[in-house]
Amino acid sequence: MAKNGSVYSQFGIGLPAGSGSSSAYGAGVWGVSDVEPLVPTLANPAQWGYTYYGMASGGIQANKFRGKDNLGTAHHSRIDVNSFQLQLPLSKGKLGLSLSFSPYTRSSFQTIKSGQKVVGSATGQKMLNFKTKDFGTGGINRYELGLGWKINSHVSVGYAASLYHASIKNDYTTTFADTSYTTVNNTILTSGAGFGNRLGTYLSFPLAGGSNQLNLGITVNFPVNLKSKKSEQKPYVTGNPNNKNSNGEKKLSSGSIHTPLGITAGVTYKPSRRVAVLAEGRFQQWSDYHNTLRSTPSNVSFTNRYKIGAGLKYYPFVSGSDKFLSQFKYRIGANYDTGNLKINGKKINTLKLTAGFGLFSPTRIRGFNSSIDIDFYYGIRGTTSHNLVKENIYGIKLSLNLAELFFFRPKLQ
Amino acid sequence: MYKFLKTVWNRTSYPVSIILGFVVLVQLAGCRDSGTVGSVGLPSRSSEINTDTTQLSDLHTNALNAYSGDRSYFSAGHFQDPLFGDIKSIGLIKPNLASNNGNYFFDQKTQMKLKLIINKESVYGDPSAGEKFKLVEIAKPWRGQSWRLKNQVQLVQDSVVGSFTVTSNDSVTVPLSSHFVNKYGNYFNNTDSTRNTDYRRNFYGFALVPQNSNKILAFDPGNSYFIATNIKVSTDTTTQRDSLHISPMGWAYNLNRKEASDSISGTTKVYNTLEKTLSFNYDFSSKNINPITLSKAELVIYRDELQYNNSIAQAGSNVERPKSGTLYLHLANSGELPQSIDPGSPLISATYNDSDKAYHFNLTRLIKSGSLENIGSNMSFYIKSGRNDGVIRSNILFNSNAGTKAPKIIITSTNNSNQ
Repeated sequence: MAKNGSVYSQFGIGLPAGSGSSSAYGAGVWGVSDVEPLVPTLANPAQWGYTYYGMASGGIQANKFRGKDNLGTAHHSRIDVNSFQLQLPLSKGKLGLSLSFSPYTRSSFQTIKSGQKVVGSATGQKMLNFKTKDFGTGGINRYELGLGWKINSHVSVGYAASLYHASIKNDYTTTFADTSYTTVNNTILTSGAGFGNRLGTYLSFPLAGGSNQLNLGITVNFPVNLKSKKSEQKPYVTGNPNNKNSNGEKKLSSGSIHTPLGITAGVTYKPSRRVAVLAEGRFQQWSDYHNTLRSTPSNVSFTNRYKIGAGLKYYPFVSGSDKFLSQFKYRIGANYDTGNLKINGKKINTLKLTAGFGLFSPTRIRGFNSSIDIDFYYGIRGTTSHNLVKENIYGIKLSLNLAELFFFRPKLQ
Repeated sequence: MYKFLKTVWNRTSYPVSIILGFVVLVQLAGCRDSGTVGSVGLPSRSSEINTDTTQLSDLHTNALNAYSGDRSYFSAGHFQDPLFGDIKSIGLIKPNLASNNGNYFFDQKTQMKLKLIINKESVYGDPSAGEKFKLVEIAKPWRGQSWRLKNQVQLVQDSVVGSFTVTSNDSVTVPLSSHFVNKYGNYFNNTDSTRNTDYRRNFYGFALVPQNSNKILAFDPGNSYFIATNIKVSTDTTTQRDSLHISPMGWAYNLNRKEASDSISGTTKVYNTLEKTLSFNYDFSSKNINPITLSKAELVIYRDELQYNNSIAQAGSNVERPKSGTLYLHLANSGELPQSIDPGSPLISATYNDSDKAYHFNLTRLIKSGSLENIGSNMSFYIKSGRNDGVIRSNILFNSNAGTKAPKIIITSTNNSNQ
């Protein structure tokens, strides 16, 4: 089974992973400026104040990467559990609570690097050729608990506290051309934890006498310091019952990982109930990122990340039409991400095109409101210039949104 | 029709969508990874290769009196090696007492010979020069299994059983004296129940005593034998003559070495006979060496090839030494020597590498498997030069005082902790 992701996820703590609302992903944005009441969202804590139903969501996504450099091509693919969220109304349509797990960064790669070392003794020296395969997985996950308060029909605010947990595993396999040297397999684990905070505001204004609507949203994700450590496998020698070593980890060093400030803002204009036009952007101050446990190669630097996206939602079912094609929610969009990496003097940009559709539960006619969102995307990351790698990314994201949890079912059915 | 389709869709769209979504997911993720990119342009992480070299500072020399009987060979001869000293070896051999059903009799016509097979690959000295031997009766009981190299052979003075000279031949047949044949015949003809016991207690065989100092030979007892001819065979009606092949019952050799001089500083002479072995202590446990990141652990011991070759040339242009062959590394309790290393179970062996004039013990597997964990304080590592198989082999190795050529332990490991 394939299990590798982007080759660029080898640097730092992995590539940033964005979590928002599955209803907005296909439109190329997170959904900080758009509430869809029957779909849970991680985009903006303020939107949790709009919770009417007990809701849960989860999803998985699969990516296929076709990497190309000046020497050849490679194909990698990977499947991931995306996120899980429980969103509950404490006071329906006023105060909502969210409990979630979502990735903050993801690292999944395999690299092979050749090396040479002069070895020998008084009687002669020789060149020892070797290769190092680094198979890295993991990243930082966020466990978050938050509240959203809809102050009035125009203004909502929200706050979320979170625990960031880092776990990045690098499995190194070093092989030697000289067969008298045995292959070495060892694992380095970087782990850590820190507390984070997130604030959000959501503003909604009717326009043109109420037939149009303009929504604004902004969230601030504050920097997090993760108290971290680097460890390796403890020597564990098999085959000797007298061996007193145990399997486990041996701490190598302690340090900290500092994740950057992030601000996400956007605007959604709804000329009618069926159409929404969304434009959102994110800034992350990755120049402020530091990791005392892992050195950054000299020709790699972390730079501030800007990502902008725009898209369109079209919901024909609102009209009440019973035509087949009117049963779906449609989304299309695009986004451009400057990335957080600068390698060989070149920023690693990503352009992504997205499209998706939503599908209501067939039981909706009886008052149940669950839905499935299926989104497809195609992206281009990096370049083959500057000795870099250009990746073509194909993906599908499948999200299940449950909005009929029995204990919060509306009284009127 | 439309209503029917819509009903079908309403009922099946959800599971169908989930299934289709999963199918696409699995199709995307189920592809096999192939190739790698960025290995040149991207600053990927490469393991650091660390090589730590430690000189063995506490290499000791041990003198042991090893068992030298019932080996694959037994040595006899005399040779003055300019480097390894004046070496004189006396071989011992004794025939089996052949079984007798009462019809066979040794009498005055019966004769005996000894056919000795010589290992021509293991001549120590000048192979073409003649080495003279006298076969002299042994005066005291001995047993091959318990005979030690430094035991002194007690001979019956003037009781010469036979004599022979070996030049370049690979075997020799020696007629044995009538006195010896009569003595053996008395035991052979005896049909008492104590026949075998009496023979073992009172018949000691003879020694191969060198008479000059051209070479030392290794005799092959497995293929050597005694021949008794003209044995009288009597039945109720006839009397005939027959012959018997009699295998050796035991064999051994002793060795008396007078080293020409002490080893030149920086070298140590070692012998497969265990007259000299090397020992050392070193912590190969995971407390000292990380077995996970270990790629190669090597003990390197250099041979003084120059001195070895120059000295043999000095002895004569034709002179040879049996090849010193392999070094063996043992882990043994000093209180259980020599049997714990002879033959013992060596941890590992090292053949001579002519390119760097050194023996290389690859200890990687032993360390990674934990075989060198938790070694008792009374245990040491012993290095034996060649098998103690009855052939005399000599070797000269650089010791702890040899500077850059001192024995060393080279640990090669990877390091990824700084990345």
